[in-house]
This record gives sequence, C-alpha cells and structure tokens, in this order.
Amino acid sequence: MHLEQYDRIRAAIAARGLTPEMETRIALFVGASKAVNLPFLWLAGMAPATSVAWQAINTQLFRESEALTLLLRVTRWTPDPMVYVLSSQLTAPLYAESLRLGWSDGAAQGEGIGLAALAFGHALLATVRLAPIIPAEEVPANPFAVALLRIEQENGRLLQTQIRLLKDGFAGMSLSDRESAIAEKAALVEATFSSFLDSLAA
Amino acid sequence: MSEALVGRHTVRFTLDGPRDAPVFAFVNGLTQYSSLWESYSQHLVGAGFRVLRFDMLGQGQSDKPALGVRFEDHWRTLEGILDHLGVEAAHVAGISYGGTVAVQFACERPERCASLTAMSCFAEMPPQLYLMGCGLFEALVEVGLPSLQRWLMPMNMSDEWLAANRDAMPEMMRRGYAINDLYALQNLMESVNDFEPITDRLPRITCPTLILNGEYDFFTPRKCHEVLRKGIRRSRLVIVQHAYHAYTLEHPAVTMRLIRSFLDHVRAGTWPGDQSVWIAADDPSAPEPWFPCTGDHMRAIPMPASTAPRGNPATPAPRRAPRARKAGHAS
Repeated sequence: MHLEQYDRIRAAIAARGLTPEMETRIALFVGASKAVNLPFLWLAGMAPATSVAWQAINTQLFRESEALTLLLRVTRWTPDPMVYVLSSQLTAPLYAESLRLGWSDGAAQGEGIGLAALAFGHALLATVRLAPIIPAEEVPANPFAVALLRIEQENGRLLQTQIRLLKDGFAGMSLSDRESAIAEKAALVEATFSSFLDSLAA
Repeated sequence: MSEALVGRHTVRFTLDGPRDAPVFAFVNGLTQYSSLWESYSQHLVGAGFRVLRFDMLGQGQSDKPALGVRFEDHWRTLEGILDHLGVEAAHVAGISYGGTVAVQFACERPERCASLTAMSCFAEMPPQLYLMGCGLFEALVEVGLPSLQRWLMPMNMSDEWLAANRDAMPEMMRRGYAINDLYALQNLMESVNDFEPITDRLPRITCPTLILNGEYDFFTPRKCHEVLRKGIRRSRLVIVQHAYHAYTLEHPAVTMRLIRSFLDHVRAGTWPGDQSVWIAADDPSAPEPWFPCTGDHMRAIPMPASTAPRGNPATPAPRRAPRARKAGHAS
C-alpha cells in the first residue's frame, strides 16, 4: 500500500504541475516496466496460433508496445542528463531480472521460463500503479496524464490475462509453487517500485 | 495490527476490548478494510465486548494470494484467527460478501457462533444477483477499478448521501483505488463464481440471528434475506428504512443501535428468534429500536400482508388489496 507516497507525489504535482523532469522520470520507469516484458511476449508470440492463450499473449504484446510508443510521443523529455542516470539506477533491478530470466535461467528451465516470465509480467502489471498521483485537475487537458491513465486501465485487462494463464496453465505445478514464483517476482518489483515512488516523493 | 498464520498465509487483525470479554467479530464487505469498523468497535467495546476486525485474504493488510483463494477459505480464515486467539465461540457479523462468509461460518461451525448478524447478504444467488455480479466482475476486469467503484456507489448509497458527498467522492474513490490491489480484487470477485448455495445448510444455525436488509437494497434484495429468515430458526429480519446496500456506512447510528439491542437480548437470553419481520426505527434514539412490519415485506408497494401461502390461486386475496393498489396507481 503506497497511499502516503502517492499523497506526497500528488501534492508535489499539484504545486508545481507535471514538469518535463517529472514526466521523464515517470515515463522512464513505466517504460521500463513494459520494455522488460516485451522480449518474452515476442518469443511466446512466435508459437503456432493454435490456442486462445496465444491470442491473449499476442494482444498483450501489442498493447504493451502501444503503451511504450504512447509514452515516447507524449512525454516532454527533459534535457537534464542526471535524470536519465538516476532513472537507470532505479530501473536497473527490472532490466537485470529480465536479462536473468532470458539468458541465465531460460535455457536451463525449458518450460519454466514461461511461468517465470508470466510471474514477472503479473508482478509488473499488479504493482506499477500511478493513477493516484495525478491531481484531478490535470486529467482533462494534460496528454501525459491521460496517457498514464490509459496505460493503467489497459494494465488491468492485461493483468487478468496473466491471472488466467497462471491459474489455468501449468497444470503440472502445484498452486503454491506457482504462487511462490509470483511472490518472488512481486517482492522484487515491489521493492523497485517503492524506491521509485520515494524518489518521486523526495 | 496483529497477525496470525492461517494455513500458509498471514492474516492481519485488530482486537480491541478487555481480554476476558466475549468476542465480537466483524467480516468485511468486498472492497472494505477492517478500519472501517472503527466506530462500531468503539461502541461495542463500550458495551463490554472484545471486538475482532480483520482483513480477509486478498484485502488490506492481509496476504493477497496472487492466484486467489476459494470463497470457503474465508470462513476458515475466521476460524483460524479464533483458534490463534484461543477463542472457543464468538458473536459474528458480516456485511455483503462478508455477510455470506459469516453465514457460512455459522453453518459450518454452529457450535462456535454465539450469535450471527447477517447484513446485506445471501445464502444463494438469484439470477439477478448472479448476473449483476458477472457484470461487476466484467466492469472490474475489462474497464477497471474506477468503473467498479462507480457501479458500487449508487448500489450502496442513497441519492441523498451521493448528493451530500459529491465533492468528496473523487478522493474516496482514489483512496479505494490505492488501497485495493487490483489483482486481489479480481481474485476475490472471481471466487464468488464457485460459490455453492448454502440454503440447505441454514437449519444448522442454532444461535440467535439478526438479519438486516436495506429497504431499497436492489443488489441483495429482500428475497435474499427472506431465504435466510426462513432457513434460520432463531432469526428475525429487520428492514432498515431508506437504506440501500451499505447502511453500515450510511446509517451507522441506526445500525449500531440495532446490533447493540440484538446483543443485549442475546446476553439476557431474551432473543425471541421467532422468524418474524420488523422495521428499524429511523431515529436511533427512538424508545424502541424496531417495530413490527404489518405489511407484506416482500412487496415494494404497500400491500397488506397475506396470511395465505404465496401463489395459491384457491386462496382469496385480502379484501383491502385492490383499494391499496388503486390508491397507489392514482398517486
């Protein structure tokens, strides 16, 4: 629960508006949460389109890509290089986990990569929620604020995809093992997201 | 908050009141969290109870299993907390989703239920309730949590409350959005899909039971509570005037008074539990908390009560019925 952090960030935005620096920091984090999952979705999308699950993954691939392109276009990027340096530190755990999943564990685990990647996707979509930082008065006219809300709304749909695939798939693995895999990823994403919120609230 | 390990999950709870007092447990509604019972807790602690409030699995501060829990896991969670506390039996109350959890607890563990307060809930889902539930789940999953919140507000509250709180509602919704984890809420709602009717098990409930239903509750309407009234031997149904689904929030003084009066009867051993129907006094300081319902409590128009079995064509209609219908039509 991040209510206290949300409150502080919203107060800062209400006082100073959504500055290019703030937009850049948010866009880099939300963008990272999308980018780290794309390779797995792309790989899964190469499979034969013979199942309903394939359709869900294909949809997710393009929705996540859409979110990234939307952020790229609507963000007013700051020219301050330090913002990018600090952001790369904050998002590094997400990229590191993505690389670890893709290159270290993937070959060894075989089918396990599917579960780990879905668990990572679940954790990202469930945890990275920023709608409460947007002051109500920013919403109607600010393209960045509207984009954030659109992305978060889409996240809710994609989250159900992860839940369905994790619940209904992997029949050979117990529910508690699946939940443990998700909990591990959730802890990592939660810690990273909380650090990000702290940095925005500072 | 304190915590208890129930199965492999951690549940967080608050316990207020003297250690040796009888335990009264509240079970939350779907999007509620335990702190919303704060004023009720203070009131009941003042009346000599030890009040237990807890977040169900998937809610507030308790664990939120990523792939959800089964609906029946919730009453087992309550039992797990009572075990953890070493409490043999408790007075149990719940509203909406939590009301059905409370009823299920009373069915499965009648010996551990000292009394039951069932509010805005059901033992089986009539088609309207089931389809509304499907629609709300779809709103949550396909449109998002704000959509679910916008549907629930008018189901839960009256026009008067909505008008009076119009300016405050965006912030209420924002806080609700921040506090409720979307995946956990999706799982909680999905668990209702597997809910099996418990109507045939209601006769197992032997404790004094107060059933509360909002006058205008169209989400869990009168017929849901009628099933409870008919199935629970020592029950009384009390209709809360002018109320919708969430009268615990909109009419706390009236609701607290009803629960307190019920508990006074239970402690004194004077709860009639005759499956009769009553109407709550609008004024929480009225001399009596409720008065008998003399009309047909199943109708929305004020028809006199029929003593004949419903739907029996051989039985003549009450003599005043046509006049009442005509008068209603003319106005």
